[in-house]
Amino acid sequence: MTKEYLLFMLINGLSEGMLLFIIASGLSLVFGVLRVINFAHGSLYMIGAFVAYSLSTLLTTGSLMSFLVLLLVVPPVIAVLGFFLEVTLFRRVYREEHLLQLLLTYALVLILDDVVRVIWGGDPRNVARPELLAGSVDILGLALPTYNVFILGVGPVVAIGLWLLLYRTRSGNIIRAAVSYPDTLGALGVNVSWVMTATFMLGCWLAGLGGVLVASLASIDLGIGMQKIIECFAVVVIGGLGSVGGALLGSLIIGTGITFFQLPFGRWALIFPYLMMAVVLIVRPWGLFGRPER
Amino acid sequence: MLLQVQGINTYYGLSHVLFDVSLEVDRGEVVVLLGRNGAGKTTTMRSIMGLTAPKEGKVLFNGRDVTGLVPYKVARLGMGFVPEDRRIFPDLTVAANLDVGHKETSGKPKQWTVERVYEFFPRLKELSKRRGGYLSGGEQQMLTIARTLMGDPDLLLLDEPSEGLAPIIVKVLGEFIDVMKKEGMTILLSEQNVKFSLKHSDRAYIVDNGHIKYQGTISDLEKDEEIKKRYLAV
Ligand SMILES: Nc1ncnc2c1ncn2[C@@H]1O[C@H](COP(=O)(O)OP(=O)(O)OP(=O)(O)O)[C@@H](O)[C@H]1O
Ligand SMILES: [Mg+2]
Repeated sequence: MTKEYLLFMLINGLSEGMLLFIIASGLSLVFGVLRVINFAHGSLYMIGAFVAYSLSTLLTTGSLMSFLVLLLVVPPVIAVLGFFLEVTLFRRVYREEHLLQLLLTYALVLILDDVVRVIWGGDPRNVARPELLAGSVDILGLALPTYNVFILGVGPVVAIGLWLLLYRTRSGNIIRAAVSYPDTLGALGVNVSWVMTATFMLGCWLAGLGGVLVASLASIDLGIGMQKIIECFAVVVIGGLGSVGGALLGSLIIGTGITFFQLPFGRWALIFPYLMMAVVLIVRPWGLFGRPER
Repeated sequence: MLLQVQGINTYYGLSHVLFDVSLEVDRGEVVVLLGRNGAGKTTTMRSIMGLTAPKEGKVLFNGRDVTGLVPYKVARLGMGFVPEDRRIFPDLTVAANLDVGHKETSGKPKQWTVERVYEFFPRLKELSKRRGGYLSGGEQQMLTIARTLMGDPDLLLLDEPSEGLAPIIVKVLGEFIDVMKKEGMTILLSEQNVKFSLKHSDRAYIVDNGHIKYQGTISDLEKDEEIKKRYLAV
């Protein structure tokens, strides 16, 4: 095995990880504020991918313009879908016990997955990469797929954007305050139920962004939602629920881990997330970046 | 009357906690609600603020019925609540805690800016970059009051502010209440610290077991050894 090959795998693994981060950070953010673990987050990501596919059939194949349109349109579409889900369903279970929340979001997985099956069917699809990102770039004498390198770049942009939003704006202060004491925040004059709706929409926007990006990375089918939500759980268990920094670290570990385990173990590499999850749960049950629950 | 509480009955689930509680606070007054542990002071404040809505009775604020209104709307009408357990957002810096307290007041010119709050509590200015979770009890008490002031309230509900504070900090707190009063702020205070409250208030109510047992001026209450002994354990 050459050094070049390992580097090639590393880049692939990291770009997998960045894609995972974009999705998992949404799950983590939503959990932090709403205290609901949204099983259906993976389904929303999958819907994002299929919506991107359908929209792309209406646009010029492979043009940069089309790709930009997908990036600009699809995440907000998923956010709007999230708006309806939050207002009609999630809102009713915030104060209920975990079991009921779990049942709701799991039921939603079944419903949304069937909706996808009915609308798009079971065939794998994909969206042609824009020409600009379709080829390969030369890095350190290696020909790497431009699209993977592109995703590798999008991840940090999203991470920095989220960080700026959460730590440098009043909205971010309010979101972080809602994580600790929603009632106190309400008594200070903030409409907390709108904060929750907006946070949920932001989480869905991130799932939608992940969907657009994956549609040109690999072929998409009915299984990608379930696969991603499991990886996302591994990420938040490793990084700590509700922590964006933790989600980033966890995603990179899982993304590169799966890629490297594929070398010797092939399909068995899919066990890697569970393995990591088990190790972290034993050593640090609250995650690497999380804090023990009071 | 700025605040009128008329015969409210409040429950936590099935347990009946407040029984026909009535009280009034006029503009510019500092009124204290005295009572022992578990008497119902916090519940009264929470009922007024809408955090635990009363089942019966009415809360009028500025002549407007606010019973059953959600807390954020009550707050936007000009009510400011300072919780007894302070509830400083631990992950936010002092400055960010204040930022969150700032709210849109419909057209009214802003009275409380960050600068003015820092003038009042210079210690908070020094700590502005520190995270809320790392403040001492006294600093947290200053911050929770300052945070509520940022919302420009017409009425300040101060729930047991002196609880657990060193005597020197309690003194600072008392001075703060006096200055606020001089500036025309209306305050409803809840306290167990009788000496402290009598010194800084105009009128008093005593709540015991969820019933209002006494109301009167401070000078009358000071003379009434019988009442003080029965309800306030002094
Ligand atoms: N969340 C709750 N659920 C059930 N009962 C409660 C709850 N909060 C308070 N109580 C009960 O209501 C009664 C009044 O409590 P409240 O907190 O209003 O008293 P308080 O005068 O503020 O006491 P303290 O001086 O200890 O703060 C007490 O008997 C208390 O046990
Ligand atoms: Mg109390």
